Amino acid sequence: MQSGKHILLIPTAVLACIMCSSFGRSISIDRRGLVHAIGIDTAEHGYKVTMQIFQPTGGGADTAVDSTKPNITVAVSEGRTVGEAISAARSSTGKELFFGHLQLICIGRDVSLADPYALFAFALGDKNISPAAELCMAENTASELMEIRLSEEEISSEALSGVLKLSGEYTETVSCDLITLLTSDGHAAMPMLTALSEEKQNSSEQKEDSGTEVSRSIKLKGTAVTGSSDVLDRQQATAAAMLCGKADKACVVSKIGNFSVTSSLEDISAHRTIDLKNGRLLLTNRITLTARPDRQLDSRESDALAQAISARFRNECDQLQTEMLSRGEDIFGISQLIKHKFPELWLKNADNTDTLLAAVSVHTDVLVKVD
Amino acid sequence: MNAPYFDNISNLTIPTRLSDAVRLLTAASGNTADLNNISLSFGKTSCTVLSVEGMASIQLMAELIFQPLNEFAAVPHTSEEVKNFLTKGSIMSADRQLTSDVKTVLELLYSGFAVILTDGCSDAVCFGIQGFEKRSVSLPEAEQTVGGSRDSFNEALRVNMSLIRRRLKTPALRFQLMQVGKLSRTDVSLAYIEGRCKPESVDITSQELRSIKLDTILNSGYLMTFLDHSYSSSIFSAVMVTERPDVACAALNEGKILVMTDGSPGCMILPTVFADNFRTMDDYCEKPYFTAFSRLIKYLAFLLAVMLPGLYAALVTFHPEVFPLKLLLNLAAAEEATPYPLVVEMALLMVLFEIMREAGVRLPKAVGGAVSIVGGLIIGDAAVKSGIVSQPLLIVVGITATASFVLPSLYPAISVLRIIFILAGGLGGIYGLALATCLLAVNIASADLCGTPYTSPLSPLKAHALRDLFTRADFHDLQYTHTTISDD
Amino acid sequence: MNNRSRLSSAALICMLLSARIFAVLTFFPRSTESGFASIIGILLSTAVQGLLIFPVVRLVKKTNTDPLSASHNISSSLEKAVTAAFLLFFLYDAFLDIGSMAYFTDYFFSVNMPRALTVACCLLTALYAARLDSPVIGRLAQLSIILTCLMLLTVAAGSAERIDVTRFDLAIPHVGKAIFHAALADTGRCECLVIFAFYAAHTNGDAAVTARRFLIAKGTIICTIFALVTAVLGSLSLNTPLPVFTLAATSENLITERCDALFLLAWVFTGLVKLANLLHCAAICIRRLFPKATHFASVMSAGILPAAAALPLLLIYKWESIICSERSIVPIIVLTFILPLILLRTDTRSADAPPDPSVQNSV
Repeated sequence: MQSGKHILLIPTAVLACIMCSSFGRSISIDRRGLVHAIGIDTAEHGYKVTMQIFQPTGGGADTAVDSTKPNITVAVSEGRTVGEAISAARSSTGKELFFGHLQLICIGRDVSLADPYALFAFALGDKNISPAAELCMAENTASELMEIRLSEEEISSEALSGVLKLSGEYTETVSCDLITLLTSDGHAAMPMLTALSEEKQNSSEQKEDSGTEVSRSIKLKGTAVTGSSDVLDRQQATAAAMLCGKADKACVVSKIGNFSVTSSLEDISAHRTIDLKNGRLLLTNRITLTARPDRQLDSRESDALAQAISARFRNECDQLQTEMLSRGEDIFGISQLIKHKFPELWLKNADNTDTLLAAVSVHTDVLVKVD
Repeated sequence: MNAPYFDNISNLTIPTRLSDAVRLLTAASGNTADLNNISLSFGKTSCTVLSVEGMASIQLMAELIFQPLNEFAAVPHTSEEVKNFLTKGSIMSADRQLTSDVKTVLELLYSGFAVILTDGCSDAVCFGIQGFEKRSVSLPEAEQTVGGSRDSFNEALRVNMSLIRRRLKTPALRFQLMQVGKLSRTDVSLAYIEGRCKPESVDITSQELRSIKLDTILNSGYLMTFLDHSYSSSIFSAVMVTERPDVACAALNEGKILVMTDGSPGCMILPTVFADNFRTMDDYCEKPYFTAFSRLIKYLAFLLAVMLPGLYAALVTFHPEVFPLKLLLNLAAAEEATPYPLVVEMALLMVLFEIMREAGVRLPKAVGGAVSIVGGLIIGDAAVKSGIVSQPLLIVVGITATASFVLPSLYPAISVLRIIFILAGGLGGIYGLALATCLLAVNIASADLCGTPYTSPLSPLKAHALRDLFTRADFHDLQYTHTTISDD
Repeated sequence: MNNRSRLSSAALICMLLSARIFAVLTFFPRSTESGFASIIGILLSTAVQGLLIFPVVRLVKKTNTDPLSASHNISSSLEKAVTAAFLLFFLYDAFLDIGSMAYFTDYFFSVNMPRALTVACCLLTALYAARLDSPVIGRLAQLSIILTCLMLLTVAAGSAERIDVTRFDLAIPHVGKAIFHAALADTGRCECLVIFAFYAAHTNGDAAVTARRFLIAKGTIICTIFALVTAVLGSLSLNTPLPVFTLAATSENLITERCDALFLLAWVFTGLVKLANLLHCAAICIRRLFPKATHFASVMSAGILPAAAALPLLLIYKWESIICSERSIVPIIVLTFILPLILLRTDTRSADAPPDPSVQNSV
């Protein structure tokens, strides 16, 4: 029988192996460059990558991050692929870049999304990058957005993400992440941001300090559709969000009789089915929502409001969906629905999916409950 | 008779002649100064009363020995009449033994018995009139409860036995007494409930105790290594020590065995399982929902105490993506200013904490308060402000330290495991932590005593016992089904 | 054998589940074309596996022995051959297990540990467990399954809002072929069946009931994992090298941003339990072939051999070719179906006969 004491040599050996192999190879958190946002633009010989890296201002052992400062530094690099550009950035910043908290990937207007797997190979190959990273498009270049240092949150990209999240929540745009883009065969809608510049006259007692100060911020421009140059306006974006099942809240103004009623829409849910009738695909969207008007309405007025909202969204949804599908831009995930319900039909038309989608008839029912 | 071991006199019997007997016993005890020798005469028959200074009660000796003997001595008697009087004709003590073996006589003398030798009789009559100084039954110091009893075991074995007998007035409660230790001949008692515990477990335990060849047994800890087979290979002990009689009685009811040592206030319970460390008597004084909450807190405290520092070091160094963004940013900002790697900071703080704790235990109470002030100032405020350690790390260490005090019985294991996990996690990340967790799990799973695995009742799964694992079984249910460590 | 060294039914099921779940958590078979097709393939494969282990269950019921002891009753040379076959299988599986753990540790962890030391750490930890009795390994397996289930629940809860049932589709050419390949791939990774054949006679419970419960549990858990990955990641799961890890990375909750650290903890634990189990079984086979060897020496040699075989391939970075190759189902069919069937027909002893000196577990 083995002595109990000798057996303890085994765990000791394991611990020794861990200590010998890892000692000196770990990377302290202060030596990591925490990348929170990446902007990708096209460059002369490939891609240009602009990264926002966390840089605390005045950090100390007993101080938290100063949220009145942007707390970022911006690194720019170029390469033939995005991955190569990122590797070049590592050597320029002198820190081990860490993408575990990559919150936002901003794509420049001129970047082609025809092959998203090739473009985002750097994300798929890096185990640290979460596929749930948000995507957005810049109205012009992504680097323009990345270089804006916002100071509403602890870091700049948090403010960017905050804008996107809130816009998505209030159905002003359609949120998009890496999974959505990669699983939708390259067709997706994503928020489009633009950079704003404001000139402010800085009046100061010291003459030499007075002058013009430029403050920069960002704004939601609309909703971009990948694969085309379309930008959906706010109403279209709301309809798209409802059809994609990503709508949470919204606000509409409806005219009932002689007065306008502002209603906040909540509990928005969408259910869709696809059937084959007479050799034709019929897509039925059933959207239910609750409207809370800003004034007391009697039953007749409530019915009128419900009908008005229902008619409005029905028309907008049908119009948008028909238009998108006729161009083969399936941002609503209908391809996936057809694959799920009619796999043989999909396979039969695998080389001609645009035609298949264009042949889909769309019908939308909107059920409004007025609270 | 040169060696001071009873073995050398094991075959000697008491001579019939009184003077020879007294001389033999005096020489056998090495002419020790604390041996008292009082002679009495009953006409032609003489007697000698032997006792050890401070071991036998003077008052009891006067009332129970000398007074009856004086009355008896009024008339001359033969040695046979004296012996009959001592053995049958009087009640001098509840504990009376008749022996002619020198070794037994000496053991009884040193146990506080008064030994009466009669001329012409080879038997010594021994009366138990112990009166040695002992601590009274007091509050349990290490196992305090809110609703449980307030008495605890003390150093006198007989008192401890009585504390148990008082609570379990059943004829099924058995005590086995034996002497362990070649020099100390310490009384050790084995207690169990007939029909509840496995007979083979009692036999094995008894055999183990009898086979111990140590010279002295001064503490129950001396016996632990002989009773617990995995003592040297396992981090945790399958033998628990308690100072509470109610806990001991509850263990007996579950079919466990108690081993009590004279001179030690700790009562050993075997076999114990891992879950026993998380049970207190307070659980049986509160409602089940609070007991469930309290048990979960204890399990959580154990995990925090052992794994939190290592997990923190592993995540911050190797897996910072796990933290929420705001927390990570603050951690990164805090670590920016500190000079040492996180694992060094962590190990340093834990070692300092252990030094403070040891100092607090050893220092007199009057000075103990100063330790906490110094510890709080040095480790707390000054270290953070000077940038040696970071504030989040201090919070982690504080939580760990507080959590480890929730389970005093596991404190030794927790202290060592914590350092191991800090090294494994801080240098090997989650991989190192997983390896350390696996090794710990193997260590726990391999412990086994008296056929009861240490991981019972979770593994092997005993459904009827599970309810007592995370909560307390309802007393109404316990009326009909009783949980023991055996399979049924 | 006395009851002390017999496994409980639950412990055996957990040991078998650990072996299978580790393979799923590591990576999906390369031939996976569709998540939904894989699920159907797994269900079919599970049903077929019920037929595969039928001879083992009958053998245990009839003779109350495992295939090694049953072959001992027929002839000693047959016993040696059968033992050698089992030994080779366990050693090969341990070789794959050690190599996979070292290979994927490089990917999963940022520890930058040299591969040789990763192998050493895994091996030593598994040896520490493998030298003990099988009931102890059973307890470890129970803990690993509990940890794995908690991990899966946490990941599922964190990914719940991304679940889309429309991602279950059979829009792939040659659906039947895809399902068949999925079933084959699943069976090829079911070395747990061989472990069942090895241990079935050494449990407290009924072998048939244990087998049924195991197959149901295995089918449920594996299908759940595939379903979760497919419903959340869709076609992305087929394009990432490690789908379950990717799933864990997308799962967020109130406390953590990602659950991949929890996944890694469960993965390493399950892998070590599986490796310990395999080394233990191999050690038993070695002791049957070389009775004079001590249990510890058998365990050590059972561990060192596959580690020594895996290390060169790992150090020259050729392990990828091992990963990419499909696992053959022939050894599993031979050891769990053909061999017990032959033994069943040739062994004339009954269950009432006194048991042969069976597996020696203790040191």
